[in-house]
Amino acid sequence: MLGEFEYLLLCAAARLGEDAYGAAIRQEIEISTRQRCSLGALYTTLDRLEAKGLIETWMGGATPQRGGRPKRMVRVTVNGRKAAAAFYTTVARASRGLAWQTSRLEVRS
Amino acid sequence: MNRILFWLVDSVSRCLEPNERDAVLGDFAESGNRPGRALRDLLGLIVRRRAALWGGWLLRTLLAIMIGAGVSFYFRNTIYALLASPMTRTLRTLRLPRLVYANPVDPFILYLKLSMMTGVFLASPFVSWQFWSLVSPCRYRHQFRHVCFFVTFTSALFLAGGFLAYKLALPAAPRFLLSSGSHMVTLNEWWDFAILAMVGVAVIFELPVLFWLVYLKRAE
Repeated sequence: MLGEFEYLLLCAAARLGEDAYGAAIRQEIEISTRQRCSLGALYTTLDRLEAKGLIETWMGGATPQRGGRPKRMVRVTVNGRKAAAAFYTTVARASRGLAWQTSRLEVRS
Repeated sequence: MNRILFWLVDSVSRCLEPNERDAVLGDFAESGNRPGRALRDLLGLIVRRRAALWGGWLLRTLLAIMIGAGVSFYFRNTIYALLASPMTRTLRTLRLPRLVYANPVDPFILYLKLSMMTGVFLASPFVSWQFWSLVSPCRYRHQFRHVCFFVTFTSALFLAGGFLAYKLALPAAPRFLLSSGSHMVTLNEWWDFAILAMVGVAVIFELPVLFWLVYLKRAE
């Protein structure tokens, strides 16, 4: 089963689609969690997910706003989508009937 | 201040693989991160990378030293006699009193210390092999030859440093330090100094290797 951060990363990458790369994924995670995302955690998790076959990464083109440096592009694989779906289903099933699920209690971080 | 931090970010980022370094520095440039945060993020990434890489290395190195120390402890009396002989000869020549111990557990502690030190020297070829494998993974045959050369060179320098301290510094030290007045030197005090001298000189003998490493890094 996926870890929490792995799931967040897969969600961010899937949402960004063709534009998923390091800085964009990091921003997406920071927006959705309202917390700082550590670059170390991001890049090591990308490696782990790639080793598990849940994402594919490759070096993309360089752009002027990146100082002419390439991006590490990310694509979620079919297995990655299945793993994320399984994680979501498990969390949803485990949360069924609980206070924070029924009353839609919002936890501010 | 910012210029210094940017310079630090650029220098520290050289610890990463070239592709990853480009991606990370590009991310910093695009996100417009302040250099302080960029440096913190970068250090976090490097620590994670190194921890994954060095975890096994550290364990194997410690294990090798412990095995060396175990073997040395088994031969502790022989090793003690061998290491103490130059110093006892000097004490006898200078007609100085023999070393004393103030605490009954001192000799045992001394054997442990000597075993650990000898363990480090015994394991030094393996430790340097581990170190060079980490610095330059042998993917190709010519790299393997380089690593073999460096392992031999590093170990030989380390052992030569220790041997030089044992042969020259240890007999000369009491002659120089205890030449005037009356003294009562305890066993542990003397051996703390002797171990520090042997390991210290051995480490100093590794300086050419350090310079060579810096040269290689700059030539990249």
